[in-house]
Formats: sequence, C-alpha cells, structure tokens
Amino acid sequence: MPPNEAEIIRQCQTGDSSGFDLLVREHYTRVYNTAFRMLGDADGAADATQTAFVRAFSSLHGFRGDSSFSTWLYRIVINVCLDELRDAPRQPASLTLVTDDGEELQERTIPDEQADPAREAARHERQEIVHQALQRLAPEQRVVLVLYDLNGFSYQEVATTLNLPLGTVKSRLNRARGALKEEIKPHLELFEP
Amino acid sequence: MMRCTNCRDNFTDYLEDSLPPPQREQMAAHLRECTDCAAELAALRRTVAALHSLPTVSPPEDLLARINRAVDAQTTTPRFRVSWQRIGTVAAAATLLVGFWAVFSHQRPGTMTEGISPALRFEHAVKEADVAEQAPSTTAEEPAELEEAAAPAPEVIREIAPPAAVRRDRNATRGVIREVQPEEQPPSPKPVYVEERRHSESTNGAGLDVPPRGGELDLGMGEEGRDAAGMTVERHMLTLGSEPAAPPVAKAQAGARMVITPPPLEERIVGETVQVQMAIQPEADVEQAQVRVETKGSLRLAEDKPVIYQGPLSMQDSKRLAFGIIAAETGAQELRVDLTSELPGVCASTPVTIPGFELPPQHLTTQVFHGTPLDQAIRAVAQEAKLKVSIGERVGQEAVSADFSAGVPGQAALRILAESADCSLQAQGDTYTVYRPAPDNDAQ
Repeated sequence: MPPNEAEIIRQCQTGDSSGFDLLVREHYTRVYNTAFRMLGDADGAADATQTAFVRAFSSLHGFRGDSSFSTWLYRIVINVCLDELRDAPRQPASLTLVTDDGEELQERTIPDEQADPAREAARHERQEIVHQALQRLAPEQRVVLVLYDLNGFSYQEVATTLNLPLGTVKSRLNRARGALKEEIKPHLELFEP
Repeated sequence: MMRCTNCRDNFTDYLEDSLPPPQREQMAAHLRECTDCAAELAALRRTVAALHSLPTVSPPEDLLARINRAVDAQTTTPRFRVSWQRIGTVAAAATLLVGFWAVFSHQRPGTMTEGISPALRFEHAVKEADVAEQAPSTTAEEPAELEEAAAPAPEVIREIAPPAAVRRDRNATRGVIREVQPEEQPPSPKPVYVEERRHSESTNGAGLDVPPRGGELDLGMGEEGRDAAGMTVERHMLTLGSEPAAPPVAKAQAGARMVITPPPLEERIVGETVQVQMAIQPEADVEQAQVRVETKGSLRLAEDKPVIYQGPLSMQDSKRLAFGIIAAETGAQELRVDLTSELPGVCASTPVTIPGFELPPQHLTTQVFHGTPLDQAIRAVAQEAKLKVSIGERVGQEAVSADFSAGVPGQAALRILAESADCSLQAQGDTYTVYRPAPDNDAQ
C-alpha cells in the first residue's frame, strides 16, 4: 500500500483526483489476478479490472473507510466478476502459459535452461488442471478460494469483502475446497509429492 | 466418537490449525482410526497445495493505460473529440494571444491551475479555442487515427506523451494532453499543448456521479457549457515553456521486459531466505541501468541492499539477476522491481505478488505404539518429526498406545501422547516440553 494511500483517497474525495492513478498502479495487478481466476480468461479479466476501477473512481466519494481500501476495491471487482458470470456464463478458458521463446508472457516465470523440461511441462499441466477445475466450481465457492487461498485474505477479510458471517465463510471455504478436490481427483496422481 | 461427517466438515479448520485443542485431538483420534477420512484429508491437503501453486499472472501490457483512459473518459466529453490539427496556424496563434489576455484579465486564484507553474496558466483561452475549433481546417486531410477518434467513442482522440524537455507532472494536472501540430508552426518557439479536463458538478440523469477532478472552473462553452453526461468542460491552453512543478510520479512500464520468477511454492517458508530470480532485457542498450527492489509489509530483503544491479544492459541479451527475500508473516508477499537508466524510455516498474508463504511445515509422524514407555514414545516421535523435545522430571515410563500410521503432525502426536498419560505439552521457542503438572498439594 502506498504510504499516502489514505491521503490520496481523502484528496480524491475532496475533488482532487490527481492521485487516483497511483491507486490504480498499486492494486491493478492483484485486481487483475483476482478477475482472471474468477472469470478464467485474460480478456474478460482485463475488462473486469477496467470496469472495477472505473466503478471505484465513480464511487470513491462514498468510501467511508469502514474497511480498508483494498477490501472495498476487491468487493467491487468481485461484484463485477459475479455480474459478468451471471450475465454470460462461460466455459473454462485455458491458461496462457509462458513459452520458451517468451511469446506469451502471461506468467512471471523465466524459462530455466537448467530445469528439466519434462518437469516444467508437468508443472504447467498441474496448474492448468487446477485453473480449469476452479472455473468449474460455482462462483460463490470459487470466490472464497480466490480470496482466501490465492489472495491470502484472512477469514475476517473474506467475510468483510463478501459481506458474509465468519461462520459462513469457513463452511463455504471447506465446501469449496472439497469441491475442488473432487474436480481434480481424476488427476490426483499428478499431485503426489 | 466423532462421525466422518463432522470430521470432514472441519477439514479446513484442521489444516489451518484453527480448531480448539480438544476438538483437534478428537479429529486426530478419528483420523487414526478412519482410513477413508485420512485419505480424504490427504487428498484435500494436496488440493490446497496445488491451489497455492497457481502463479501470479501478468496483466496485459496495455491494461494500465486502458484503465487510466477509461477513468479519464469519466471526465471527458465527446463534444471535443475533434482534431486539434484542424486549428491550424492562425487559430493556434490567435489562441495563444487570447491566452495571454486571459492570464492578465481573468486569472482567478485557487483554481485548477494550482500545481501548474504560472507560465502555464492560460485560462479562458478556451472560448476562443472553441471558435477556432469550428473554423475550417487549414490542414489538407486528417490522419486516419484522428478521424476515427472523432467518432463519439468514449475514448480520447490521441494521447501524446510530452517530450522529456517539457514533461510535466501528470498527476498534478491529470487530463488528456493533445499536441497542436499545425502544418505551420505558430510563432512560438515552444511547443504548445492543449489540455482538456472536465468534471461533474452534479449527478447526471444516468446516475453517474463523478467526483470533480481538480477544480471548479467553468470556462463557458457557449450554450452548451456541459456535455451530454452533465459534466462541466474546461480546457486549458498551455505553453510548456518551463519545467513542471514536479517530475512525473510514476515511471512508464515500457522500454524493457522484466520476467520475474518467484521461489517454488515449497520454498516459501516464513523466516527463511528464498531466492527470487529475474531477467531483464531492455529495448535499447543502456550503460547505466539500475535495478532496485522495494519490499512491502512483512517482507524484507535478505541483504539490506535494495539496489541489486548497477551497470550496462544489452538489448541483445537477457540479464539474469537474483535476490533473496525473507517473509516474516504468512500469506501473500509483495515487492516492486524498478528499472531506471540514463535513457528515459528504458525504464520499467512492476509490482510482484508472491502468494503462499507458510510457516515451516509440521513434519509428520507415522509411529505406532503399543504399551510403549511414554518417554521412549516421545523421543521416537520427536526424532521422526524433527522436533526438539524436553521431558520433565516427573514424566515417567507410563505405557502409552497410539497409532499415528495415517500421518499425524509431530506436535499433535506429542500432545496426544502426553495427555494420554495425564501430562501436558508446552511450546517454548522451538522446543516442546512434556511435563506432568504438579499436584495441588505439591504446589502448596
């Protein structure tokens, strides 16, 4: 978080929105990743990220600071994604992975010349399986996994973001993990340590 | 006796170690006896690990610019989506003159121009510029790019980054910068830019309520002082003859390609030094590049040297670098990598989020005890689970029985063993002490 995030927000609320792009720069990668795991495809994630920031900008005057800005922002992007999923249910999309020649640089990885290519391929395959399995979950299950397991939110932060009781978050997380486990069960041998 | 359903309902709490001790021990006991639940838990553990292994993906390169344009569009009206190249030489010169007139006759303090150097304050040039805009173009034809932008799309016509010599603080006067490029340059020796901004003063009919963006000026737009979205429009004629009040705050994410490899998931352990690797390839050769890493939150660099590289970079080769990081807390960790160089175009800045930092893994024990002396069982578990233990004087050789063959975290196994012999377990630092609580009469 930028040290002056609260100050930037206060300035935006009083009419000087010149610092808003700093907030965008600070949060857009994580917002994009959240949308990408929610929607499953890069184009949709980019659109959702853009929409979320426009909505945030339009609504910033109403941000009271009851929760952190990031929690507020994630609530917006989650709502954008859920709206999108409701309006246009989609098939799981494929994960764009980095290639050895770096043509598709979606993933922050360096093709490691020292690495075992077969091992790298297996790792990519496992990630693809998990990503696809995630897309097959119900959105209300997917969202808790995205926030808790991928974004590192605490139970309380998930509860605040989704406006759910803490107990509901815990039980939903348990069910979501169980559902994901069932989805990847046919490939579980790939995940053996 | 715990049922399988109850056990599975608490799998996540068990994995997160957030169950109260009695309930956790009940689960552990159930897991020792129920192979189905133990297998399900093992599968779930692998599932969660697989989920945590998903990488952070990089947003599209143009996303940041897209977002900024979309936010800018909240304050931009289609009314002015016409080419400023239409203005032409005479109009531009006239505008400049009117701009000077505006400075000396209409300048108001405390307006949007705060933050812009006085030389840039050419308010009220707008009315005249509007007139000029409607005049026939002296330019033979419009570039296709501008024609396309003249359509009522919610995007700006063209955004031109000012040259370095006249770069200004975009954050101080956020708006669309358009360069006036008449066929014949106006008689000013300095580049001329027109900045256009708009803001709403009230919620429009569509319910859009855009916060004002930096000022209250309404420079008057004839009978249409507001655009269709109900936003007040203002336009400033700027001659950028001096340096801006402040340098640009954010660096461009361009000019170099940075690829960052986080440590493998299994290495992301709180308190341990883990290596982040990166490769940088600039779009032009530079002699004085600097790569700086800034950590956030509980993350810190293993070596207290944020500048991890200084020297030349070649556009032909990918420069590989590595640096160590140490996380003090679990969860996602964030850092930022900045590249700067002597070439303004060769710079980059990218945030990186590395999820999945966890506490050191609890090593499992698979020991089975049948009437084994307590101290012997404790040492066996500690040895297998790689835990340090201390056994109190009052802990004897009581016979204990336990089956940990399904795989039980060492700490939990120690507690089960201890409590089965009416002893207790206490953690002090990295050492676990098994002791027998003193009876009441001993304490007196």
